[in-house]
Amino acid sequence: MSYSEKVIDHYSNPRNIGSFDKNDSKVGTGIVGAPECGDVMKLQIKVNDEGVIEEARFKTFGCGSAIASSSLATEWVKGKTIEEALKIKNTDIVTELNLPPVKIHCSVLAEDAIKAALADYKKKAEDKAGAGARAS
Amino acid sequence: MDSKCWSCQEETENSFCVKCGKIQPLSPAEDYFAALGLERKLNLNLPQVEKKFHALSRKFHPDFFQGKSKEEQAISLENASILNKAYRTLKDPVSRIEYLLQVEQGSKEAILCQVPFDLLEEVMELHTRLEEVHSLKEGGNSQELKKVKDYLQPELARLEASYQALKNQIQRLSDEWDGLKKEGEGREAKKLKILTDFRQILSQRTYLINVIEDIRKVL
Repeated sequence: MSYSEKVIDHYSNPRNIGSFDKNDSKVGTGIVGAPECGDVMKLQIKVNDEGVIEEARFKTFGCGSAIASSSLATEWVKGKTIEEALKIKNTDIVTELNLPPVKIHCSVLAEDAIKAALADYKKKAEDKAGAGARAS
Repeated sequence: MDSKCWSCQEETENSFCVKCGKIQPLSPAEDYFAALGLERKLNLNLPQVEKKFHALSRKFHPDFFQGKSKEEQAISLENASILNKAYRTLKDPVSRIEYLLQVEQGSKEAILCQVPFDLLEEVMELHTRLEEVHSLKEGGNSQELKKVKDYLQPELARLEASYQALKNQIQRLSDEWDGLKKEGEGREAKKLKILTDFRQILSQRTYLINVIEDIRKVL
């Protein structure tokens, strides 16, 4: 099986690789895994006061397609609101990267990672709002 | 096996028709356990299974059907290939369990379930350390390198212990599965419980194996 040009591009020049402090209240962290192959993917978002995702980071240990899918995902979430980011579908990633059927699960993983990061951020924001309400 | 011979329509349950003697296809509905004449059990006597596989393979081998009709040649080829797949699948204890889950609960994709978050976080952390080892090696920083290795050494021992525990659990569950009564109250619930536990364990297994292997490589 050969990788598409876009996969190779993301794989050899991954965008937004790295980590944020997961305890930062502006940061949402998603860690997901694919049990079949043992791949792990961490995707983090940093949300500004306007509710827009300002930055994103990822770290993926897995095959080229998993790395490319998460790299692309971080590019796509940037500049989006949480609601907009929730609409990113794994099929969009498959189309963009031209993933073969055996690698579709990599795109599913990336979608799950986005969802998990968004959920983590939302939970943090709610907890903060709750704590703020109690404090006042 | 089909109950009617494809050629002469005689009722037959053998692999060769009782009336016309023609080879019969292994029915596609038949699972790999049945194809090798085994019960759906997990503790197998492998030398015995191998013997059965060889005996059946001899019976269906395409070489013996060279002079026969096209249909018979095709059936012998198909049967031989089912047998090969069956043997290859059931020979390995893990793929045997995966296959059991597949035939008991449908598609292979549904077999593996969510991995515990803690495990993912741990694996992520260990991979990050391993990356450090690689970059420290390149940079030739032996003091820092030793520190990371000293951290990884006990981690490896711990992971190996978890892997051993997981293997023990697989054995225990396999024994439970084989000990299930054919009928009786609570059988279905017990069965479901075992299959669910198997899934849980198998979904963690690959992570452990990968990370253990990666750590061993650098130490």
